[in-house]
Amino acid sequence: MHDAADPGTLLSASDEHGLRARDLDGAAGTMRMVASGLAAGTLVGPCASRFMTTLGGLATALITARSAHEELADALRRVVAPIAEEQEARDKLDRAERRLSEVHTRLSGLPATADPVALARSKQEIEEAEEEVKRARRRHEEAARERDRAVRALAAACQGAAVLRTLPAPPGEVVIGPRLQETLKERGMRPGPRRAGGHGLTPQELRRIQRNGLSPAAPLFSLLYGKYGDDGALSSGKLPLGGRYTLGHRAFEVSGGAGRIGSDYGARGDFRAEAYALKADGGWRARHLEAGWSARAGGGEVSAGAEARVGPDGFRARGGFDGFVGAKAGVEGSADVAGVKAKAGVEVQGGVGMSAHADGGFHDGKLKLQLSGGLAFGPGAKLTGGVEVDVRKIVSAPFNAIKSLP
Amino acid sequence: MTTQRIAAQPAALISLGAHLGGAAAALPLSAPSFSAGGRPATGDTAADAALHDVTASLAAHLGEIEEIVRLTSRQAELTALAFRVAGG
Repeated sequence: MHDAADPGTLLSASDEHGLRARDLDGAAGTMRMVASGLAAGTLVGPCASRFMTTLGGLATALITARSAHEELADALRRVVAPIAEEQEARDKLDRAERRLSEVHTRLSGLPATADPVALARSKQEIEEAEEEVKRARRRHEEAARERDRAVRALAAACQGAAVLRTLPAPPGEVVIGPRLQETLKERGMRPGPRRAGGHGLTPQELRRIQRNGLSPAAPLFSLLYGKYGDDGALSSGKLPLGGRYTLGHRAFEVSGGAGRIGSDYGARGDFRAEAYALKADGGWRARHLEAGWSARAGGGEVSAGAEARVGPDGFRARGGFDGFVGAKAGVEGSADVAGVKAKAGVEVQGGVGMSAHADGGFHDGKLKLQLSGGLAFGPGAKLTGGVEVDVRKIVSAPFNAIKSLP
Repeated sequence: MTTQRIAAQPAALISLGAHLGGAAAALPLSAPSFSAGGRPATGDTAADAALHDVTASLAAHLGEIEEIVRLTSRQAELTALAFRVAGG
């Protein structure tokens, strides 16, 4: 009878399933690590819930698959020895039966007149061969029962391993732009814009808003906005009377975009690059007065910017450019009296450069206008002047005065 | 954490996406080759059929898991990109 079973093949199959179980264990570990990263606040909100659900389901599915491979590897290994023993017992039985057959053949070939001693020896050989066959048959029957039991256990393990868990759903669409708003609405969340000032916002959101004035309530426009900043110095420190100095100062900043800017809509573009060997600033402030000074030496700067925006709380328009190489020092001061804040500054320059800026607008009840211009070719100067009128304060002042009367 | 808060750290999300991509690539996807000596058999027709079925089923199952892990990895990277573009 041909036996298709090969213990060596079954053993190598067991090893292969064991290796797969180890690979799956590693993948499940990665999944747990990723999930713990998300739990630490990498991603929070509805999209985080979807990711966590998916990652949890994937980790469970991987662990289930690992267990299935482990069980299969164990079941295959457990079937190897019984099959090998049954095959060995069957070989022994075959050999015993062949020997008995040979002895029978030899005895039948002896003549009736043969030596009685030879006849007796042959009959004894037959009895011994028959006894050997009986023992081999009993051993084979036991081995066959053991093999049958192991193979049935393997079949049961295969059927058990086939019952795998349902796979988790993928996390769904990317949370981007308008999708963000849809997700908010789908989950019955507040549809309106959230308040600034830190109410209901995560620290990440606050940092984001502080950096570029965005609101998560306007994701479409947010996508059209960008900002990059860089700054650095070799060393810096404090000066007497509240000033600061920086050696090896450098700066780079670019921003631009269209759409939502703070609470307004409009367009904005900026560029700035600055590098000075020495930079120093200081200032002084009282209740209605402010004064400051600044100095730059051993370097230069170039900058350009423009902005136009309008919204429910006002409007703003600004534009200007700067280009300068050399050293400069300046002072500026401002005074705020009865809702009118005037600002003026002068800068003495030594180098080559030119600048012009205009900035005006109305926002939060305040009308602002600031102009500046400078020119240097060798010696030079830059003048700055501006005014800010708090219309709301001026209009309400008489009413407040009347209210304060006894 | 409340469901009203949405924020992300793009760099960490990209790292998560890379980890997931690595996990997907490391999954043993194809059916076992059993290169040592051909297809394993026990000599029992029913057991051999069950062994063959479960081996094929596990390979297909891992293929589906790999697809979901890859999709999740891609989602993490795209979400990171979205937050980075939005300035988050």
